[in-house]
Amino acid sequence: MRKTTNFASCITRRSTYMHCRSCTTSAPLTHQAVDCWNCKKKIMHLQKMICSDCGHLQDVNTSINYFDLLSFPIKFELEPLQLTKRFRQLQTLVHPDKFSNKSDREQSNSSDWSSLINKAYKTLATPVDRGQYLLNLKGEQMPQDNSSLNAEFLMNMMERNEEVEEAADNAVLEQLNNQIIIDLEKNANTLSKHFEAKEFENIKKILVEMKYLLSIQQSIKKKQQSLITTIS
Amino acid sequence: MSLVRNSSRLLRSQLKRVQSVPVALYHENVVEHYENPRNVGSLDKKDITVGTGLVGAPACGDVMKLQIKVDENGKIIDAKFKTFGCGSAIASSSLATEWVKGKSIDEAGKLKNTDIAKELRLPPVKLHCSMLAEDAIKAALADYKVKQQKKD
Repeated sequence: MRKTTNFASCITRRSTYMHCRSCTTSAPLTHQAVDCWNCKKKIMHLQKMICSDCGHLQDVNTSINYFDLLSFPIKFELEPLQLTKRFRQLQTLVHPDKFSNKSDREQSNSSDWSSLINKAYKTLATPVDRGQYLLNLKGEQMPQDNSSLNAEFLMNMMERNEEVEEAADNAVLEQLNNQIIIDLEKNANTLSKHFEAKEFENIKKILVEMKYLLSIQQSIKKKQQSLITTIS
Repeated sequence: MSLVRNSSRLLRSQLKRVQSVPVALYHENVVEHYENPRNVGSLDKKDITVGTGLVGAPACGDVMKLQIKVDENGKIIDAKFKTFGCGSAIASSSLATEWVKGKSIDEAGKLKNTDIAKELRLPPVKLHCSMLAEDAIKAALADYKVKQQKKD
């Protein structure tokens, strides 16, 4: 009984700072409600994770987007430490360890929620993944064909790949990696204002460039690994 | 009782996980081209008998450069490539340079990605690599044509 009260009060506390994103009211969220599979009471719609009445863990809401799940506004900018904090708060509620003595359905739900929360966190934590995810939420797709890439950009990527290929020692590779980190950060910083201005073509260009840079970074890591193994 | 139930649940979830792991197997043709790539290198970009095609795949961050050297009869006498990407992309461009050598520029333009994909037994997820190679050939041919026109 005590456990149920804790869950309920936890939900109530969180619901005071969450607001409904699909309507304009901040009244108690009973519309778009779902019935608790255990006690049949209506649950508020925003996360639908735990029934505030009986405390039973609900089935995963597969339609929820990652931003809503982790209680962030749907925009590109977010504070990484805040993201990690919310991630841990959520995992605390649904972690499978907490449900090892509960019903089969709750155990299965716990593992599903945990996976979804992990996936959401990983996506939002990486700028390029977050950007692509947000782009898709806005109804846009990443370019699939070659036409979006200009010759100058490709030549630049070719040269940078060749630099990695020709790098003779770890010091050079570290330097190349540092430059990539700088360029990735520079690109990520421009995404926020492009999203605000809905400049989707620019966003796609930047995300593609980030993917190429990450690809080169993978090559650097691979080469660093191979240098380590040849030395030993 | 619950121990049996739990262990069978564990086994079932493990089996589900194993089934969902994608197994990537490269055909020996691809491995051959990857380990012994033919025609890796560069030709002189400024040479007017050389056409350079530079293409990329935004979905996977691959970049491919394919160059052809054409003689006065319109026949491709040399081809070189440089590709940064997955094994299938490297194999596709390696195979492409092998195939265009000795062909006329018209014949080379007819090379389809499906031929490359069939030869390398590329799985559906890697078909875009063969498409990239076809694009690279076309780009090299187009570049050569532009240079020849400028000459006249």
